[in-house]
Amino acid sequence: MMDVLALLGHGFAVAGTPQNLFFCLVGALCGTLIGVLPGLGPVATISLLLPATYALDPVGAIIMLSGIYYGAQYGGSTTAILMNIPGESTSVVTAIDGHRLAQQGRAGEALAVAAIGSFFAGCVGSLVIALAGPPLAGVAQKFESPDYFSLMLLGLVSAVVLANGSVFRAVAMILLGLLLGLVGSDINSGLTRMTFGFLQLSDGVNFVAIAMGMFGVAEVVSNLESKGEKKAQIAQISSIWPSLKILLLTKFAVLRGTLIGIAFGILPGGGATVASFSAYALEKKVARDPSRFGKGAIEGVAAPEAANNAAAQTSFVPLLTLGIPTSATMALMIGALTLHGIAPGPMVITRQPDLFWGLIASMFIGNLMLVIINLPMIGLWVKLLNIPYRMLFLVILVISAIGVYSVNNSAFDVYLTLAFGLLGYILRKLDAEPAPLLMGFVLGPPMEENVRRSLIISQGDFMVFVQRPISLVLLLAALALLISVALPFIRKRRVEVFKDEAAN
Amino acid sequence: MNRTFWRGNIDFYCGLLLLSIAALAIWLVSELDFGTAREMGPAYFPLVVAGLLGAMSLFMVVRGIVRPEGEMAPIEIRPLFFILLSFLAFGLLIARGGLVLAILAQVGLAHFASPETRVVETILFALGLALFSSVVFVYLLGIPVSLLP
Repeated sequence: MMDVLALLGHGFAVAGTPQNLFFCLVGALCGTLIGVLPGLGPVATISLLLPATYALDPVGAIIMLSGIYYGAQYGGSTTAILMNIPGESTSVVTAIDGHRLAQQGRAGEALAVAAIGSFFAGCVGSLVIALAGPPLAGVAQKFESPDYFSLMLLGLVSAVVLANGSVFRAVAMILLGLLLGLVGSDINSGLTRMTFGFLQLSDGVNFVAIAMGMFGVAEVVSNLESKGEKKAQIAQISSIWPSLKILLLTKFAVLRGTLIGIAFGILPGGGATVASFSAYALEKKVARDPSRFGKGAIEGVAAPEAANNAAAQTSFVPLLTLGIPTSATMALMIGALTLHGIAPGPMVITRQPDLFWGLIASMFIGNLMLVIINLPMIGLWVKLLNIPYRMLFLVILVISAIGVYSVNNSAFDVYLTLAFGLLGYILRKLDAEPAPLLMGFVLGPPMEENVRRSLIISQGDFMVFVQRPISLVLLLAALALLISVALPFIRKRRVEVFKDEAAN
Repeated sequence: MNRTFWRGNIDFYCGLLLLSIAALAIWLVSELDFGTAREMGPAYFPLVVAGLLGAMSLFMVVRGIVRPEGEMAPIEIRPLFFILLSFLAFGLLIARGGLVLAILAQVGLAHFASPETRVVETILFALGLALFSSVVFVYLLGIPVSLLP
């Protein structure tokens, strides 16, 4: 415990430099901005800004990018409460009771509870990373190739659970992602594979081009399709300071939401969206009068908002300790780490203490900034809701084009983005989500490497994956997860969860 | 402009698309060494993955024919065409004509992707974005690209 405090102190020293404070603020502001604006999610934004962070030092870059992710959880609730439009998929449930409260003239109260609940959950979530990270990384160091392979398989199965719609298609998307990840040189033989003779592809497909094409470009095109512009009504805010009574009333809801968020963030297959839905469901179940929900129950705002923010923080645990992404956003973080020459995995904590502890400390700071950004400055963000998309998309396009180009200074990557934009758009139309594809893409090369190594050790015996206890447990967990998705009860829940969800 | 030019069963088309990608991948790695489980060649893992993808997509195609459920969402040509074209223009111009021209061309083409854009607004935005990008990306972040031809 003392160790953790000392290391956390070191983290605050890292995160507290003027430069890193600035990056943290930029991340929090960007996150709030895209959270408030519907039609622009954290996945698209992080891929948009990923190349721009190339020039920064890795710690500052990761601090900023993660700020965008948890910042979006704050901003998303604003639009949900005031306009009944979830700015993010994670605040879909917040809109249900939040907007009702706004209609009753209690918008300020709902916003304040959402922000304070998020702040509390964010701090607890960050603390969980600090406490759970090092021991988990210690366990992970005992992992050998077969265990890693099974762990990655579990990660991919979790991507299926996360995916929107058909499980069958999600598996196909993972396979497509794995295949795309294998484009380029084979590590063992040095021979190039599936490059069509393009020299630019010998190092593999540019990660930014895939992410930007599949999420950025495809999303812009979808958004531009004529849907008949709706001018939504923005509710008025009277006072943003909630009474002590309301805060006391919601303290258990916030606590329950936080715990659910922590669990769902750490577990593969969870993520912030599922966490917020589960928290709402639980509140409804434990409430003395469940009929209040849907008509403006404050717990229906407090719990899901706490849950999504807690999950946004703790989803960094598997990333930083095991090197396994649990969502598309975390797959992007792996891309960001790799771009900066840091191999994600159990060694991050010991070899990059500045990064690990600095990031955790920055989360405390960032959450504090976000409360200030989102409460006293709420009026500013509400004004932003009036920016029409016809202006916004021009900005998104130019920044994404420059961003992709700047990674390798190659026009080829711009064409690649174009191609993946087209592919992503068509796949979207065919009801196939790009998020599992991105996770497959990130995990393709390490999976191949680990399966190869495992089979060299076992002399070609595939039983090695079930003979090692760690590997066996992970494989069984993957199997259980896959079966659970197929069961009708959970399938029904999934449909509910992903009904309104975008690509996050 | 024609709003819907292509409709059909999603399973069938999705399967067909993925099947052609899998077939392409199998063809591309077919000349490489497959190896054995003990000593995998460069083609081993890609072939297994592409084989699985091919099998799944074949199943989708068959399911799409046997049980045609779910229509494909209509594809609108206009935004798709102009957005992709704007990226093409950016790619072609960035190395030859410099950042400013590339941005002006991209924004100019993207203008036609939506019926809601307004000419004056787009011109102002194009100039503003060119200026902003020149300052932020070239001067501040130091991306090595020339501004003008």
